[in-house]
Amino acid sequence: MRNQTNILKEHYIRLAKKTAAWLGLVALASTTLVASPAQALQITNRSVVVGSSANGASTTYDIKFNPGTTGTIRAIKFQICTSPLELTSCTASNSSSFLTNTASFTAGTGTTAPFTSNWAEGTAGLVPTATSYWITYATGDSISSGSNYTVRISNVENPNADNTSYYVRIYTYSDAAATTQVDFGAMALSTARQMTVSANVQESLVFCVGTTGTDCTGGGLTGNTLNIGTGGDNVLSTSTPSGNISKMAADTNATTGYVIQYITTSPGGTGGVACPGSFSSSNDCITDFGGTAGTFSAGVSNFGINLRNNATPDVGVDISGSGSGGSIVALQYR
Amino acid sequence: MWPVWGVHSATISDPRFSSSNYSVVESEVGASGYIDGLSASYRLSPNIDDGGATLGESAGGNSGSTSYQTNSGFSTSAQPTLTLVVDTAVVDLGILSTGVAHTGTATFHVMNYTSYGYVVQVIGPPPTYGVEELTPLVTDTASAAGTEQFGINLRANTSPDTVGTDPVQVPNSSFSYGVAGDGITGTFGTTRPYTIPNQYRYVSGEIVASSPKTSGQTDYTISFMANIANTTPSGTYTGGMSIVATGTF
Repeated sequence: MRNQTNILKEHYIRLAKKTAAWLGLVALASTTLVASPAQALQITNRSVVVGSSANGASTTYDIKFNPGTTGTIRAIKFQICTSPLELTSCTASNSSSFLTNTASFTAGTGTTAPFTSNWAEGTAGLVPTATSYWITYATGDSISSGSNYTVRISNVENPNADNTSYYVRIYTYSDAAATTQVDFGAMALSTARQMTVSANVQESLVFCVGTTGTDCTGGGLTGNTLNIGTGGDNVLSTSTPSGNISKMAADTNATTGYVIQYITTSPGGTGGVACPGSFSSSNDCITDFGGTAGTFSAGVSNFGINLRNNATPDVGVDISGSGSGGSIVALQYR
Repeated sequence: MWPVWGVHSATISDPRFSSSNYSVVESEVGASGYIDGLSASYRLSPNIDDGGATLGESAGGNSGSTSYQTNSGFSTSAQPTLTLVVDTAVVDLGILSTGVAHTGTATFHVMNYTSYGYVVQVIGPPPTYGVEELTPLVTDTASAAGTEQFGINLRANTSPDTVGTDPVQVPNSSFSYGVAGDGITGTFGTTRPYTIPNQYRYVSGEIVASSPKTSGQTDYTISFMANIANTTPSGTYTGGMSIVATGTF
């Protein structure tokens, strides 16, 4: 059986433990209630549009953001890092750099007001480094958390590895020396493997000849016999010239186009001697009209061609189609 | 005796909430993802991924709407993340013909967290030989053999070939939300650029894919289509294209 002394001893031990516990709790609460170092407000609606995602590319960075705080700022720092964390030191991501290609602040196209005037690249302690780039304006401008702004920095070197995630951080400052921070934000970006799309186009010349048909598609032009006389007996006349048409069609992707030549042979003239004309029988020749275009006269032996719609004789069709081909011969024959 | 949460008294090494039937062990004060509470002797620290030391279990919960999404729990990352991986380096459309279109595909995937979504652009000239570009389609247009054309889309197509695939959500659409197109213009699948099956378009810099909110991985397939005319100059046409993903955080 416990005596009074032991009872009191246990009581005071429990009381001491309680007191210690409460004191500890108070100590804990008091320390946790001590204000932590003030955190910058979050920059919102932030993004970076890069001109190229190629690894190692020197390209533009359009940094878009809404400030967390409405007020006057006098400096902004941009960083390219392997981490987005504000309190983590910034390490370049795979040789990303503001220095390699001499990054520059673009106050013109790509940047929005108020940064389009008075703001300039940082100097005197705020000069660009591999990981950091400042812009400053001693007087400062007021910016609103309700507005989105864009700052373009050109010639920024991407990380030199494909498909690599990395980060851009933004810090705003109320002083031009960038010592009093206002807001902070970070954005994630990624390089990407570049694609090459290729295709080959072969040289092409399509040409067909015949007496019937419209073009070279399908079965193309057909027929290889042409009667240029008249009547069922296909007779030439001394009183009137006669003729007929053959057709040809051509297209090409040659950049200098094409030429078509008409080359004839005739079986032979008097005594088997080769006929100087394109048209002959075994006994006689019909003379080619010659190299100078002209009109035909009835009763005069001549053979010629053209590529036009003719009235005398009434034969022929002008050149047609979507191409740009043309004839060098006018409404005459040669 | 009042339970002490985890830290002070040297005699209390395993504080717990308990009753005759239940107890909660290893109870802890939760940490925020960003702020350290500390004194000279004590510290509440966020997850190691957020710059601190691991503390406690991870527990996740997701809720979202059309435009917003939140993940809550003991240890969720505050880090913005954007992952873009392009799988295809070369798309060879072969020897083009006036009689039939030629097609090809390329794949890439995007994933991002703690954002308001992302957009994907394709930047670069169409295949070019010297000063001659294969004529890019500036509006969504069907293939026409014999007419010089170059275009892309991000859909499954049946014309001019069976080519391409609709975006695929990984692991499924409960976690990933990427879509073809910019999510804004016109109507998906009928008038929105790059979303119309069997119609192709190419304007450098336009948005070809997007997500309206934080998203897990979405796998995309770009379908390429080219036709030539009988006057398309001969040569080897090439085009370097850059895929750019931009997340808004």
